[in-house]
Amino acid sequence: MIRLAFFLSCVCSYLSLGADPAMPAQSAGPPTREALTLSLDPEEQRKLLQIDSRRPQEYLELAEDLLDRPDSQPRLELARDLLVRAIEYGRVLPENRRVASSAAAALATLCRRPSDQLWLRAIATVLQPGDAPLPQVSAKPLANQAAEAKASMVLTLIRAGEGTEVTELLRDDAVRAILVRHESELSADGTLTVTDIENEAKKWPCPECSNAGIITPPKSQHAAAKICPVCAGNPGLKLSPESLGAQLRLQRRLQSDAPESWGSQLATQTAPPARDPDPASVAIVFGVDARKSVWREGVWISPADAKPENP
Amino acid sequence: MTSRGVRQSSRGRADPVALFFGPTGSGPFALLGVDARPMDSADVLEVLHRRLDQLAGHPQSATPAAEEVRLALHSAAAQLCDPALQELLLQQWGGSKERPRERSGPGTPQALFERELHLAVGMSGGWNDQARLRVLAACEARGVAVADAVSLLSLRSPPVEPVRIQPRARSRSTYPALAAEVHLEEAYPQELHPEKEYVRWDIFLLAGFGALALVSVIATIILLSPSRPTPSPAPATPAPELGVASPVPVSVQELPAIPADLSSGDARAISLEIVGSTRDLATDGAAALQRFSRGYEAFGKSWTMMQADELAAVVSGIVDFAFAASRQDIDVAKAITAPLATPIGDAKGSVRTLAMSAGIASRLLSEADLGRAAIQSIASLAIIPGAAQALDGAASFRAGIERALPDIAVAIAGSSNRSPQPWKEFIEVRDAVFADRTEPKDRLTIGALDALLHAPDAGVAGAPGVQVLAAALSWQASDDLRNAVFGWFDDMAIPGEAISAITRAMVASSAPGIDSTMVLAPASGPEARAAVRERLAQVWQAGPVRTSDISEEWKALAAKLLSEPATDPKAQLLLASRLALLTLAGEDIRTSKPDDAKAALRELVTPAASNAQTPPPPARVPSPGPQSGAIDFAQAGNSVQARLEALKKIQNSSLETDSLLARMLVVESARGSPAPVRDAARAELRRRIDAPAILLATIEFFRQLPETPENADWVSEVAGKPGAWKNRPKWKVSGLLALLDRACERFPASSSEASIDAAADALGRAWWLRAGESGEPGSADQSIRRLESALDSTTRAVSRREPGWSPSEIRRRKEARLSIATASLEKAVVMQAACVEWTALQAMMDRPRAGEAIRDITREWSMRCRTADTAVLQLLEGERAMLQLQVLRLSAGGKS
Ligand SMILES: [Zn+2]
Repeated sequence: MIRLAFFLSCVCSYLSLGADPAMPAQSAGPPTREALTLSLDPEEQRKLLQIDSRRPQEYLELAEDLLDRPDSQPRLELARDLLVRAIEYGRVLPENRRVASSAAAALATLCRRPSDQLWLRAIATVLQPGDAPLPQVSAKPLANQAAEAKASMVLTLIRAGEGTEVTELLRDDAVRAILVRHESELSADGTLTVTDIENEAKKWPCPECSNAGIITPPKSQHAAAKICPVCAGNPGLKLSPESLGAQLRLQRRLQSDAPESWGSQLATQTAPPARDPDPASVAIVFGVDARKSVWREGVWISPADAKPENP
Repeated sequence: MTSRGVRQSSRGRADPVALFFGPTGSGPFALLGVDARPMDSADVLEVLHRRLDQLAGHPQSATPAAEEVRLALHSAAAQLCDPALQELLLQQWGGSKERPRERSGPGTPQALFERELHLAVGMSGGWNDQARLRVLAACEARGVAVADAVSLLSLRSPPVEPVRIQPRARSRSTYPALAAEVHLEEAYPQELHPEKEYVRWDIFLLAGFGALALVSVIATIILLSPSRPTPSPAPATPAPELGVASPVPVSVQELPAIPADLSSGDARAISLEIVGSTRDLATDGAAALQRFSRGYEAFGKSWTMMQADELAAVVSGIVDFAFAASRQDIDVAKAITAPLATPIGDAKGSVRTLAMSAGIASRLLSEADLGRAAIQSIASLAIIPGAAQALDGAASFRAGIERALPDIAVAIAGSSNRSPQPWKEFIEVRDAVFADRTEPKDRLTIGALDALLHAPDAGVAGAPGVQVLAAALSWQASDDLRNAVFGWFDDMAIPGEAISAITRAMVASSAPGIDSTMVLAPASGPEARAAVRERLAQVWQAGPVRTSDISEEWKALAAKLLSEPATDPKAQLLLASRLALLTLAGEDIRTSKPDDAKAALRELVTPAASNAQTPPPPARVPSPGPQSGAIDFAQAGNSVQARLEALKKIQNSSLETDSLLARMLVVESARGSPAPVRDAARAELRRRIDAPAILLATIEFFRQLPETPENADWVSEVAGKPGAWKNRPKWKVSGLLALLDRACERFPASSSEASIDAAADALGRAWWLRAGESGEPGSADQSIRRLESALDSTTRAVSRREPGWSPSEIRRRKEARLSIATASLEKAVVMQAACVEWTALQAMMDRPRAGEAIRDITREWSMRCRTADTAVLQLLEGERAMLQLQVLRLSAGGKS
């Protein structure tokens, strides 16, 4: 049970939507009546009070209406709750699975993380009747491969202290985007950011020895060569052995699709638990209590507790 | 990073060449263990002999694998003996373009004769009938005993007995070519005869026989194939390149004159077409691709009739073509996979070609050196129609087909074509791939039958196909057979015509206990069906598993392991591997293999000590101090003398390799000037080749490294393995990857990495064994895929239809999970999840009344998986579930 709670808090914290990515779905709480009355038009209000879990398409349609004018956070959250319910009620009956599928596809567009989008799109496909092709993690286009090679080069260069070249490479948006996407893999503890690299790049090459590491006085001075006192003969970004290992792994990942050992994947936290595109898990993951299917007084309640409402 | 996946050479583990010579690259030079450089034929023979000696000294030199390698070596030598072909190969595999110069003098007559023999073998694609005839012809011309010639070739095959050589009645004859050779022979003047004195002619009589046989062979062929145009004899001038009036009857120069009769499926003609297309790549890519496709198509239609050596020659030609094309950024994926996209029709050869394409695509997918773009392009197209997954890399052509066959069966069953022709070819392909391995053959055929029987129109329309497949079964009683046949009998959706066809084939097989009264009439009702089923059950005696001491011991251990906790990833993986081994032992008990089960249990009770391997200490890069050798070198400035002295001083010192010294050595090795400084730096770098600082410095300096063969040499040493890339003109991309691989090995991202990898290997090995695979296990990623596909094919013959548990639903779920998994560990979890589901389905078949208990196990498992916070924990839960299912299957009263 503890584990389940842990899992839910993990998933929910990264499945958040809208403007505040840190806000977990559960703690958002039901939107206040005021907020909603402010943003719902009378027609929407009427529909909301009439929805019934026996007709999941009503949840989907209302969510689509709300998403046509996604101008406030409460509207988005209500849309999300409606879509999750459309999936939950639609998945059970064969004739309603198509509704559930559309709802899952719509919910995917509300998610930010590509992995969540993929997960919901896979659920949408699973819910479709027949053998619809599943979404695929597409092969990288060649242009992207070139940018990945450059991103890998950025890491080699910053370790060597080639700051000017790093700054130049980071001006390329594609290169930058790749590194941002892999930011958590830039160091062992995931704390090194692309901005850190950028700042580091400004310090190099070494102003004293231009990265030679050794100061060689002109012959005429008859003085001995010595290690550069500024960079100690070791220009460039300093990393712990573990972080160096993490960067090398990222570089390898960027430049090759060759399989990587499990130890390496675990050490760099690049292999999350596998997820099951099981429609039944959507409501659990989003923290929606699907038993509460009707909307009264600004909250979701169970139909048994609800008085019929006549608009 | 100690993973197999990373370290694995470009060729798969099963590559016989790697077995004998260690990892080698592609192409004839690498095979012969030399750099791509111009060689005269004496050189070639010398390296050939060196390689053959090396092979002969290997403990496994008498195995079929060694034989395959031996043939490949002859074939490579023959290619290099031809100057024109050698030049082409030099362009392909790097090296300078200088023409090879024959050494002074034409070489001894023995050497010439030997070359002739090697050419004969090489040009025939190996030691086959064709080669025998050629050797015979050469011996005849020289008056040499055939036995001597054979021993000269160091072939292990039994000596040729000339009188036994019979012209085989085959349509794809290459004999017209031979006739041309004989014409050539006649064109040569008698002055060659003095050379006879140099060779032994003690068994002259035997050679005489050979000549007689040959003449009769040729006469027969000419008589038998009157419609074939007799090729005009090649110009009767001795080949000038050889420097002597050579009596060589077969030389590459003459080959273009021989009509390449591709459509007859002549292996040599096909080989030539493909080698030719590789050559054409240099001038006209599109035309080359077209020419390749011609040869490829011809190969697809005829490969099942080729002999092993002929097959090997053509496949290696195709692989070479793919390499050459990928170097020029020509996409071969479409050409390679075209047959996979062609609907299965009635045309002869359509299944044969489909299987060939699958085999070649799998073979190419295992060539990591082919380049990322090429691999991706092939992978995206290498899907058997209707299959859930793209093809996987396979170490050999045959292994690739073997793996693809279940999907091919499903594709045939799913096509609208109901003629028996595709199934006949399917069986032909099956036999070509499995030879006499009855068990996998039966398993495959049962799966194919099941797919066909569940096709929409299996009845009257499908019956001829069912007949073909059922007749190709051995009908040896086995679990698979029993499960499948009873399932078909029980499934009323399968029409009587189809069941009738099955019983007819069964009776025709005259398997023990089966008699003609067991034939079911096509229109029989359920009672007749049940009656025959009952009689079959008596004959096959599907008895319960005996509860013996072993299974008691097994159960006790299962109970113990199932409650064992494991907290960190390493412990979880090790526990998972033990659970998997115990599941395997359970399987042995269930299938009445008590000895295997006992052995497995012993291993489990005494945990292997092999886990206790100590990982290498993590690499350390010393910071430069005032003593650094790099300082003296910098002080030396431009003076060559002073720099050499500084290097010498470093050589004589025991200084640590700090980052500055490493960088200096790398820079000077890469582009130091003049040459003595560069050479001294390289020598010193090689002395410190294992220093982590050298590795990092090489990676840092890499982009400025001149792309020369000499630099490739030392870089490959720094990378710690001689990759095939080393010999290519454009080697830097692969070189950088090799360096990064090495760096990942030297610099772990966490201290537990190596021990986790070792534990993953242990789990992979258990999966590998469970998949029924033998030999060296692949990576854990590969092993779980094998296990999944093994379970899929054994469960294919399932007729019970539990809601949510049909094979197609299991496959669909696997696909869905796979579509969102990115890391390989995640994918392994997905494949294992499918294994759990297959095992559950099998358990439902075995123990229909335990359905609820089985569903409890899977429900618990899926809940635990959903809440697991790591992929490794998910793996452990999967192994727990599979063992629990095995316990259920083995528990008392397990009779269905
Ligand atoms: Zn400095």
